[in-house]
Amino acid sequence: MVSQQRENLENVHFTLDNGLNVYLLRDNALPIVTVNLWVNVGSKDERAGRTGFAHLFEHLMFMGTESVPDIDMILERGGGSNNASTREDVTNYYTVGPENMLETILYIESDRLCHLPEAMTQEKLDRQRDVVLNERRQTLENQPYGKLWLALPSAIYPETHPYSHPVIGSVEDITAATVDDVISFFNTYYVPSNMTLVLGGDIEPTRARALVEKYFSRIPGRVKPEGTEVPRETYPRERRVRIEDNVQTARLTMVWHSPSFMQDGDAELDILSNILCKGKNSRLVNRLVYEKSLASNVSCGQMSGLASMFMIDALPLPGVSVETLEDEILSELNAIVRDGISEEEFNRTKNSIETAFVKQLQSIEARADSFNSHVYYAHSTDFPSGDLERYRRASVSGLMRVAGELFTDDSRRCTLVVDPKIGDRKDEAR
Amino acid sequence: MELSLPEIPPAKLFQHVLPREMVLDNGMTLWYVYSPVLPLVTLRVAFDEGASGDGADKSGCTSMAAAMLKEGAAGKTAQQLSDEIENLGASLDVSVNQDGSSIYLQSLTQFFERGLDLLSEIWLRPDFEPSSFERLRKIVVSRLSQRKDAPQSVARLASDRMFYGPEHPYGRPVDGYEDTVGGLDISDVRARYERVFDPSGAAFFAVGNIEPESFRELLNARFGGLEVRRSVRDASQTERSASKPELRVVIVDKPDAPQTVIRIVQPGLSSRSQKTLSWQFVNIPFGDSFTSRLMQNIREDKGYSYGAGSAVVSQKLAGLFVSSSAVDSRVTGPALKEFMNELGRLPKGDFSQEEFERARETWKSEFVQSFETQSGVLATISNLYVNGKPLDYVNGFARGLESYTLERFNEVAREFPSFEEATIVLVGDREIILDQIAGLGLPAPVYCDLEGRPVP
Repeated sequence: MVSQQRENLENVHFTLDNGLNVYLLRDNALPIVTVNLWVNVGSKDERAGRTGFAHLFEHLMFMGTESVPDIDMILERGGGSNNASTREDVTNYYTVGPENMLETILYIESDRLCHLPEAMTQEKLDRQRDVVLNERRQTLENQPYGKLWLALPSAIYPETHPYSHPVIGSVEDITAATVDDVISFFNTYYVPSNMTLVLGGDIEPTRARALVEKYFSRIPGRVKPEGTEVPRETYPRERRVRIEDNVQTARLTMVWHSPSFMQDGDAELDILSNILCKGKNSRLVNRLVYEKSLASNVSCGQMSGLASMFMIDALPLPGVSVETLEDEILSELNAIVRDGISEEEFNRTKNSIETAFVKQLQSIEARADSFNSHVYYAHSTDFPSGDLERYRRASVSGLMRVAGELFTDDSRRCTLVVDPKIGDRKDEAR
Repeated sequence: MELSLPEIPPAKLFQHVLPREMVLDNGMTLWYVYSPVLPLVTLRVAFDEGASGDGADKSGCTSMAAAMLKEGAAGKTAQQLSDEIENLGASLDVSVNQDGSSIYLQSLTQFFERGLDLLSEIWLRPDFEPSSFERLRKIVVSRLSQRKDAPQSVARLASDRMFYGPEHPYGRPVDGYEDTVGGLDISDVRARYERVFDPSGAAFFAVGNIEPESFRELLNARFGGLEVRRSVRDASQTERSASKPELRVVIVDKPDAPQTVIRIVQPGLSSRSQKTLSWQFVNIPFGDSFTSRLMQNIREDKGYSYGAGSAVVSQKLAGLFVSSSAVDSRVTGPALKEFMNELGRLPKGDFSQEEFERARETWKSEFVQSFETQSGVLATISNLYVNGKPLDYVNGFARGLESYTLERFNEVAREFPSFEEATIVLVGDREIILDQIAGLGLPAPVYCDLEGRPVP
């Protein structure tokens, strides 16, 4: 199936004295290198009154130090580019550039891990707070159904759960952040033993290792923070939530707590989401869109993390109520639990998954990030074969077991309905 | 030990592999890149007609015709076709833009032949079953209604319509409007299919690990006997710019919107122009990189927005230069003022040596990265063909960068349009916008609805 030459790139692993774990993945198909850093801190680690802080902090990591006052200017001068993302579990930083930029990228990355706090100012914090508030407006407040994503965490997780607030945080908490918070957060979480570094692409391992040692060994070792425990919930906090938004069409979203990433049942739920919603003959698309003409769209997915959720999402056609859609979806889920699924349905999805793996191997940046993810969640370096193996091993009986667990007990489901605000169904332009 | 910023050694010159040009027995062209790295094949069948041929009252017709291909073919239902594609783990998609249409197949090599058979069925033997058409139309109309909720889509609809005017094909959206799609019948769509997906207007582009001669044979066995009546290249459309562009302000009201979407369009270059790469190059330090003037000014210095940028958009009949951002509605006026300053400064051609060098290295790096994926390779080579550019066009530009000068860079900047030709679209709360833009010296605004059509 997946070709041997590109399946598992040989990786070199070493640990610096300060505790930083490093992996080197050589792939010289093109003269490109990537540097990918995962930090074990995310919104799960935020304290009360500081929601959104892990993400705000991520923005501040790009604000420069005394020795590298402007990271982006230096990077782009050599054709490099960078970005980062913050999730519930982790923050990742990634840079890509021509192979001749490797040393510069390593210098910049290690410099901010040494010197960020010394260069932090109220002015930098204020500027990035404005940017983040605009990110919140652009991606959530001013987008159709954005309010759904803001309401979801508190609907499904108890107040004490580390996932019970959105990653972006509340406006009040983002506004309340101080320079002292930034320094203390850095000192607590941006510790070498709490991070994993992956170098990928057109590298020569001996030289790459020497460069990592040269630049990253200078970062002082500190105590590794105690990880935040993320319980896997079973029952949602709310059973039913209604939200009003400026939209033309209502939307139905059904959510269940599900097995964590890489744990038993996780791969089976990926397969189930394909059986339900991938392709026109999938169970829900066929029933809601083709046979009964009730929905313009239905989709689903297993959203995996240290805690996961399985989600089904549907948009009704005009004249159809969300309650009708909900009944139809539940009836199909009941049919699966009662009558099972066929081997044919189960196997149909496996070639799609294999193809998706091969496609993912084309980009070294994506590959390095997936490798880091595999190390974080599976504690293993056998990516991609080890990840693919989970799907090859999955069985109909395993799928039926997890489907039975999730869908037979109504109280395990949270249903969120977005209703159009009255008056928003027609154009209001003047 | 204190370390200092290392010197950057010179980058290697990158040149992409050129496709091999082959011809099927009936004269159809195939451009193929042999890439043995992964067991994956990607094929694009490109057609030289797109949505711009729809006509005002049938806007969206080509998109509907394209969508119908997968709704039933060769006597198989949409669900049966979908099952067969899923069984192969393949992607088989049909897409339309203003200038052309495509059928796109990607699969693991071992399944490619079976994928080709399915492609052949949907392309050459679609069923156009009336009940399938009715169902699809209802779904598409519902999705078009949802488009009104997305402020960036609304801004785009309004800017195209107001910049090009109602008579120009680019003034209308590729997917059409709720009423035009709602008014289509199956005979419209079938007639459009017969014109757009005529093999006479098609060419093949592919990349994969099958030997070139064998690959040609796979296509020839299926498509080498199709009747080809006209040359792909003699499409008779000629360049057609917007009616005399003049400075104008267009507002689309979204009451209580927390942000204003700003979208400014100015005249650009058609895709046939030999200057498109030069313009894209100059745009890097203006609005197409993180260190660009727009991003640094509007996001990093002022904090008005999460991002701001610009793009050189080139199409067959005409092109646009587009600048955009979504800004906190309470700073709509100051943010727009910064756009006006930057767009006013651009044609003065005062980029610094530092900005020029950053642009040069960024361009070279992105050029290499665009060849990482099969889709990226296909996009580059098929654009060369479709736009009538020489095979060596992008490679030649890369080589030319070694001796490119700042003076030449600034000369290109001076070709950029004057702000007096800008159409400024603002999507947000009307009352706030009017208050914010008073005093900027702009003409009185006109208004559009959420589908971008003018309202009194």
